[in-house]
Amino acid sequence: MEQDRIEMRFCGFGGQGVVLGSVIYATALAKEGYNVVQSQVYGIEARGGASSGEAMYSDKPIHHLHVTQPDILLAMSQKALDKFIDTVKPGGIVLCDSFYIDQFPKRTDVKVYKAPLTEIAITQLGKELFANALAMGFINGIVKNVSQEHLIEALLESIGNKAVEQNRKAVELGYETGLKVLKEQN
Amino acid sequence: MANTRKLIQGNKACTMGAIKAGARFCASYPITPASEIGEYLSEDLPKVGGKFIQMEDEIASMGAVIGASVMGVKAITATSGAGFDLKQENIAYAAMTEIPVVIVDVQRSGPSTGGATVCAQGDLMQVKYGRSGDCPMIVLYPNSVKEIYKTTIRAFNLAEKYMSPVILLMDETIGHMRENIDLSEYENVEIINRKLPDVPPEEYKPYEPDAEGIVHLMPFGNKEGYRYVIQGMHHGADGMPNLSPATLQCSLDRINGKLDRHKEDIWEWEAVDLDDADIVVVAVGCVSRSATEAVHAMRKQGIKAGLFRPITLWPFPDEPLMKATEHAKAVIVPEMNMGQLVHKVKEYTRDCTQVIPLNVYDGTVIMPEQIEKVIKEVSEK
Repeated sequence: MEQDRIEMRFCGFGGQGVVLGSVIYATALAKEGYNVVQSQVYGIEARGGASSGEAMYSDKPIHHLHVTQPDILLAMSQKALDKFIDTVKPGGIVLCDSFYIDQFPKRTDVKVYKAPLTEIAITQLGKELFANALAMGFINGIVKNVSQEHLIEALLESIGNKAVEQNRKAVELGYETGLKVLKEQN
Repeated sequence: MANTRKLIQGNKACTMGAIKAGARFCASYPITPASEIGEYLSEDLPKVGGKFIQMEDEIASMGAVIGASVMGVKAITATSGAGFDLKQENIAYAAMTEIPVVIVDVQRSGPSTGGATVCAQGDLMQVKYGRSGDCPMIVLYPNSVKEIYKTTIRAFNLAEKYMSPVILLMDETIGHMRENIDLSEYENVEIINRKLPDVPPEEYKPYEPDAEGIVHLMPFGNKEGYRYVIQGMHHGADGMPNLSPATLQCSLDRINGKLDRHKEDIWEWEAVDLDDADIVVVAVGCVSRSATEAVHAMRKQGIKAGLFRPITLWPFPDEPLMKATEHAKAVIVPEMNMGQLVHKVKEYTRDCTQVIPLNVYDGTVIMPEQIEKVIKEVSEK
């Protein structure tokens, strides 16, 4: 089947805000002018297990309902990575928070980038809470599919303009980390 | 342009459509996956001078919206299948007394409590049946966030135009999905309001239909002096109980006949690649999106597949379906239940046309590949 759309999955454990992350990123993609479909699968897994949100984008109308083969996978926990790694499209990109992940994918047909996102959030922003915003910037630093300004706008809209400066800083720090990792790990 | 860049959740789009259509009252009881509709309306209705009440249960919330509508206020309630069960008695009352209200059913897996967050299409028959007597109903079934907005407005318009409850049927997947939508094209959308009596109070007969078969109910509490009774027993033109054979037949003919007579106005459907299709997929709601993809994929392989998608589920678009499947050698009906839509399809396709059900009821959404597989099998025969 012809693939016109790019699929993204955001996964981690419940509480890390990966579903919100997918909403934020999808909002930024919509601001970018793409057709976007964002969704999530609900379930008991949201309470501590592997939680996940998804976004698809395209220049064309999207009929597809759910992400099945992500081009881009953000994994914020080991359990979530293990659950979704096999679904990533050959040639796809896998982004790992190495603070929670120590067993990295063995697949050789995907490109893996890693950074201790949660650790950076704790040490440089003072709270684990900012790992999510940091991860959004990290994705963009690697794949560069939205403007940083749209990403920050989307984040602030989604959280009701709370801790504006810290969140802005988190996205920017994530982006810089992404650029650095892209250079080092390519 | 900026408008197209807004990402909106399906349930939110429903509330935006409701407010655009003029809804100023919502009473509901929380139930996944419809809860956001009440939540958003509780925030947004007061901003436009409306009211939201979280009622003590489902049937009370149905009663409250009927009450609001009787007072002349456009009203909406939202629930899911397990809550819809509990509303049925009052939905029948609204149909019988010709009170326009909009009832949203964001379906989840049933029966009973079933699965709160699990997508299913189990209420296709329940929304039409499940009430006593020959109870008419208009049911609309959008398949995208944009269409939810547009169809919610249409639901109110049809309710007011035909003085009937209208059900907006949705899938969990679409209710919870977010898509970017452009609302600018709906800025000047037509908003229909119910007709008021054109005779003085002393000549007023509330249940005397006009030439189009529609009754003109003056809002209760009016200062002009229109006084009348609304109740669920069969009633004559004056609204008073009357069980004479003539009145009884007239009453059933009136509430059912108005929808039958105007069915072409009520029907809405989408045709995808139907012109020369010899394999026709009939699908509704979220499944129709997978079906659209499947049809496009099959066309690329030279297989003449098409899609007929009822957007108006009830009254069932029988004549359009017959026309769409006239030259089909096979009709495939994928649905997320144990087989509901397929029965109507069988009823309205030629005896020589093979009708193939594809039923998935494990909570997973039917994907394009599953439909493509059946289309291919049929085309190779």
